[in-house]
Amino acid sequence: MTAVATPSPTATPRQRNGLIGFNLLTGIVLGVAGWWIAYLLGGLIHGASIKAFSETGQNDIQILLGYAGGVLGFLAGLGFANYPIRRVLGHPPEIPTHEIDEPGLAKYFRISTDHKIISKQYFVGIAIFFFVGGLNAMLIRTELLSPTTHVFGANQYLTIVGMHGAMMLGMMTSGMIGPFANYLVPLMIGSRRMAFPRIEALTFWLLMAAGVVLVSTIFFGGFQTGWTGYEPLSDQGTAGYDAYLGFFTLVSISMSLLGLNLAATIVTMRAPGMTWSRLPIFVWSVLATSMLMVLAAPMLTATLLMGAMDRTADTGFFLPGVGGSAFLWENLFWVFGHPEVYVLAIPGFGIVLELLPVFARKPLWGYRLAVAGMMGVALFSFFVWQHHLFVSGINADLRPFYMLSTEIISLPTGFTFLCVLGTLWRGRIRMTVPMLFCLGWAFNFLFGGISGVFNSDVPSDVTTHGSFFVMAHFHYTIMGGLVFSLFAAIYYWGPKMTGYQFNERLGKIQFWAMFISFNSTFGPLFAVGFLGMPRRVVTYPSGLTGLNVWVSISAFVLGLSLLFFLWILVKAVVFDRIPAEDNPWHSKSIEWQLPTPIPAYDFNTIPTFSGDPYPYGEPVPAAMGGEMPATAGAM
Amino acid sequence: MARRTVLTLSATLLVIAAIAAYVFLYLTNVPGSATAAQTANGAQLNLATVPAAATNDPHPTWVSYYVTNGQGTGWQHDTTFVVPAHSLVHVTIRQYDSSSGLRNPFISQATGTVGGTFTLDGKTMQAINPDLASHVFAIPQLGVSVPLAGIPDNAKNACGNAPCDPSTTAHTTTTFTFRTGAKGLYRWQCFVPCGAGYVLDFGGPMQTVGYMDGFLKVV
Amino acid sequence: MDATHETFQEEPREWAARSLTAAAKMWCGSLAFFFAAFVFAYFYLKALDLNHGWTIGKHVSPSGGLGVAILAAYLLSGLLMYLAARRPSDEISMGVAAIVLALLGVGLQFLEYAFLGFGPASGGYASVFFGWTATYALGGLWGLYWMETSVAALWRARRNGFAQADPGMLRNGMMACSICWTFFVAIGTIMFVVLYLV
Repeated sequence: MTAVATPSPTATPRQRNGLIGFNLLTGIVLGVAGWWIAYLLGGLIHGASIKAFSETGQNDIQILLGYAGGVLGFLAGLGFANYPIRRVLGHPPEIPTHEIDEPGLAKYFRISTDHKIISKQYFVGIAIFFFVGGLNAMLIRTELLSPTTHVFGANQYLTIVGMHGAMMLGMMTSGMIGPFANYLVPLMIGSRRMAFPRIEALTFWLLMAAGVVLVSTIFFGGFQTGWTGYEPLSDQGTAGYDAYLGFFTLVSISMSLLGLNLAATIVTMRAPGMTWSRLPIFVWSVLATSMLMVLAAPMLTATLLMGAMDRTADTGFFLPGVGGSAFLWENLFWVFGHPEVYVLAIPGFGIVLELLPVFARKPLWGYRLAVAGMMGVALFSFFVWQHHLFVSGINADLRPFYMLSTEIISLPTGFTFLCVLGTLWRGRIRMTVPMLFCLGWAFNFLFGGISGVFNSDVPSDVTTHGSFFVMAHFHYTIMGGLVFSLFAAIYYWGPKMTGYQFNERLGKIQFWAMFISFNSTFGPLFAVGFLGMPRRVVTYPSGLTGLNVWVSISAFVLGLSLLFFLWILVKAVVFDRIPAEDNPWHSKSIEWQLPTPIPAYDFNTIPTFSGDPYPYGEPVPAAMGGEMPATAGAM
Repeated sequence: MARRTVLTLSATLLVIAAIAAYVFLYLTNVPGSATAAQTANGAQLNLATVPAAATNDPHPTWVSYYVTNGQGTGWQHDTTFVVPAHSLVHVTIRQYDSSSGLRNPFISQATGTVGGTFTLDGKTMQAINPDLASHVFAIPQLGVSVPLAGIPDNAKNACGNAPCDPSTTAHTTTTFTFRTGAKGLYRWQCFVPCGAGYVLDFGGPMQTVGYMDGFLKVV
Repeated sequence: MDATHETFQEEPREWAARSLTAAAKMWCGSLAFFFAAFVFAYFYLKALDLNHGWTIGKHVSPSGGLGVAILAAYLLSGLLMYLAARRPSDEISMGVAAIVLALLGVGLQFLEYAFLGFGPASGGYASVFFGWTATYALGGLWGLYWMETSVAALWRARRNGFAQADPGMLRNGMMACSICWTFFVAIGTIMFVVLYLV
């Protein structure tokens, strides 16, 4: 290891905390200005779509350029243009390696290169859009209280459904990775930073811009395509669909860069002794997810660019009349879309497997099996996409292959379950709030996984495709999997990240309220689907009213349980402010050996790792001063 | 503590205001409805189709249906029509748009109407020349489909944007009667691809409730 | 746990260099999947040939001469960048030449559009042609930025006698850039084969 003598970290110049300068306020001002300038300039361009402009009153070139100008202005206002300009002028690369502790909240409203600050920015930013997506879900269930339209029109309903789906599957892609991987990966591998701290910050601010772009669809008539943006409805869509294109383009760029950054960090910046076989299982899950993000997201970017070109440059990728095909979109979208599902799920595997040894006081059972499982899921996820097209007229000879490949993916998923059960077996289980959420994950994901087998099977898929059965299935996997493990992570690492204790009793109340209402919401939807209720249709047969009312009421309780969590968080951080212990869970992982809150520079010296990563249940060595098993030495 | 409470309450109020604004934006976009006038022998629905919505409409270039009164005035931009169950509905449509022709000539004939016929400018008919069709009024769940003939392309006093004056601008008048069934919500739509400028002319007004489609609310 | 001048230990210097090189290689994976979408579109639409719309009109075929010129510019640029990253004595001159040739490749691409003889609406082939070449040209601009910053940093550092910059870091930057750029040029070669020869 090379130890280089450098100035003290405290010598790093501080940024100004005033309103003037490169910060969120400037970003918003320049974002609005950028929008108008690009929008007005776009009006001067005489592109292919202009010939339609006089008939439709819609200039997609102008709107898409407006979004581009707005985002560029926003980023420039935040200060993202400064470093690239310096580089163009020949200044050498500067890597921010010395973070400093800054008091106050101003640091959260501008670019930060501290991975812990960025993770908190991610947490709050994504939570805002998670609650917007959740609000959309409440609006959907409000409308479905009646078999006919009674609150929203059909167009508004479809836009709300699309907003909910896009918000949840777009923004929440980084729901786990954003806050927790950014925070934990450098700590867990013994690095003080991510490989590319500015890019780490960029991924967050791009995501925030994406969320705003998506919400702006309301002002342009919304989009009626759902989150999948299927053709030809999308090419025929009104200006609101441009917001969808802009949103997912930004999300896909953010995803690619985030994955690249995480993977590069894990591969190249592990501290001495942090060998592959000692890598925390959560870091393995992040690595598997990152590879998916690096490879799958660019496919989506390309697909969205094709869609944008169809709407602005007169190409016909998805238009059968000019040699295109709507099914090209379906194929390309799902080449990205199915790995995307695992981008959401695999970090949840990692969280649960990371937490179980702590609360079962046992080593992780089947470490290598768990790694193989997650890597296997990541690999297989690229070979299953056509199961989304079973009823889209694909060549019948292709069906068996994709049916089998999809069913095979349940094997590596099963590895994870096996490791969960093996770790729990004869453990000294502590029913803490994080543990409850982990067990909730196992229960929900089991139902999600088993119902997925029905969807992967061609004969049963043709009867359930496009129905609420599919909807129930993926909510069991995504919400039951991702969101429950997300809450496990929040309750587990929250005290370390915020510096304050969360109320255990209130947390348990929230868990049970959420767990029961979740199952009460999505369990009956399997039945609703089997009874023939299609997704994305505002009306339904009156015979299904009873079930739908039950589901809606359960969904409202689910929504309340999430609001209750907000109260728990605010109570802990704003009112109670009880300082969290350094290691309340008696974890042996490195982040818990650091003080709470963790200093800006993380470690004083680069740690050295040795021994088993999960030495629970084993006698603690008498001499812990030199090298601590599974965790870190000098810090 | 007091400062924190005030800040928390302020933030909560701000969030509630944002949520209210968000929901309001959706609610204000919902098309309204128009109730058919009651007559001795059923309900009377007076409609109009125009080549372009009113100039102050969010989409002033889109073709659209409107509700009018019996004289063809009193224009109202709603496409949810409230009609009674198990009764006759008499429909009069003044059509101000020019012909665009049908891709499927089959729908140039009327179906589902009383007697299987309709009147075009007072003349009873069962079908029109497919090339002359401008729009179609169809309620698939009730099997109702009636073609609407367009005005000539070279009509001198063609109407531009709604509202159109029936006494001074060119139009055709189509009347027909159909019978409603049980209470419920029935979708109606135009089947002539008339979303000019959009892909295959099926976008924009063709896929937006409030223009070339809407609901028949049978109560 | 206090970070002081005496006790604060810098991270290993090789981390920054290794992470940049690793990221460059992973970025190649991203590029491959991005352009794979166009390869898929090409063969999918060609195989379907819906409404006989693969090509609409008579002269939906780009100029082979301009295509070869564009490819040659990119290939030479890739070769020079490859050599620039490996020959410190010629890194500036070769780097500048690589930038000029890449700029020429992008410029020729836009010139080709002006004399193409068919438009984006001339069928499935035309859609893929415009989509692929336009996004490739955009990628070329991104590559130009990276090459310029790498070469400019070296040039500026050399002028100052490497007083404020670590030559190892700068040359590692050139290497990472050359990895991506040569991979990008390889994709361009595949693009030429698919769009002009298949």
